[in-house]
Amino acid sequence: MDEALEATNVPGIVLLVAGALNVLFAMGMFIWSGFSLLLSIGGIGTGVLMALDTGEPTLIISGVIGALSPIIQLIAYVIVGIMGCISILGGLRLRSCRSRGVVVLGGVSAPLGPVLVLLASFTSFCNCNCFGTLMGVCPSFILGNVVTLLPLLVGTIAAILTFMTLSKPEVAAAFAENA
Amino acid sequence: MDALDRVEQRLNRIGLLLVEWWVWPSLLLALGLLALVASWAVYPLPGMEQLWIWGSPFGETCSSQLVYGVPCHNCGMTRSWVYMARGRWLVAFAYNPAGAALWFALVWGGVVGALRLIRGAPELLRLTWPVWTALFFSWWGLWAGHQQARLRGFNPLPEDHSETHETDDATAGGPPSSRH
Repeated sequence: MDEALEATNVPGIVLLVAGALNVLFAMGMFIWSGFSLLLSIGGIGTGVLMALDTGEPTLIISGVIGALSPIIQLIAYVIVGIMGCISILGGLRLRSCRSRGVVVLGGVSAPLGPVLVLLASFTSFCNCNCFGTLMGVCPSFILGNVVTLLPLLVGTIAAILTFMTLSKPEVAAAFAENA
Repeated sequence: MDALDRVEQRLNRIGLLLVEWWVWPSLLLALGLLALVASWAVYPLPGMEQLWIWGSPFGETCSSQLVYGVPCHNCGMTRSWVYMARGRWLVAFAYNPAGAALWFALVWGGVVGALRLIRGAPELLRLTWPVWTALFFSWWGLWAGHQQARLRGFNPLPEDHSETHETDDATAGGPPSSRH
């Protein structure tokens, strides 16, 4: 058991940190862009109606997605916050070798949170802003990219460490003992 | 406290379901099928850069092209998938090598997932971590490197040749564009 606890110590902390980063990331994004998104919610109805007026099925779909983008992004931030909390709980449980399912879910949630935000940002202009930064065209968006890529990187490392740790025989035995 | 315990128990059950042997192969198969269906549903017409779906134009002018006047990393990616699905792999590779590689990886993953499910062998054709890492960084290099090369004039998209702009305008009924 001691061996297992020793093996899960560092990965547990990394998963915990990844979860905390995701929660901070979600809160930061909500505050940073949430207000402007909330202000633009009033225009959603007009945007949807304009999309419906086009008559082309593909233009209607893309128009409606574009119009609903503020709501999609706000919902994504909330989900990422919840996923971050699950990762924190997973990190704590990994360190005590209990609730293997929670640890698995926490490990999966850690990198998926930022991915979800990236996918949600594809519904708006943000997609190419970020690529513009990577190309060095638009350096003012560097902050936004670092904010997204840091939790993604830490979350990916946390997930890899978590699953590698869970596959160790002594850790699996400790989880089975505590089940 | 009881409520928190109940939440944790539910999360635990969901998490344990995720590590059942058939979950990952099923996910691989679903992703592969999704990639195939999506790339078949969107189709090109001869002599046009514009893609179509169910008789309607598909895809908009890339925002990077509109704002910065240069194609983004993903420009040509949809067309690379569309041509990969139709067996024109060299054309697909020219449009966007990272897109072509991603399509191939997803479809190959789907095949592996199906084989694992059929044979009940979750370890079948399993890649080691070093191979995964090498594949990931190779793909990323292709994605980022090709974009940098394209910005320097190497392998431009058809719509970025001045002589194709007129054709593009005439056929697509819109401005010359770099469609995803």
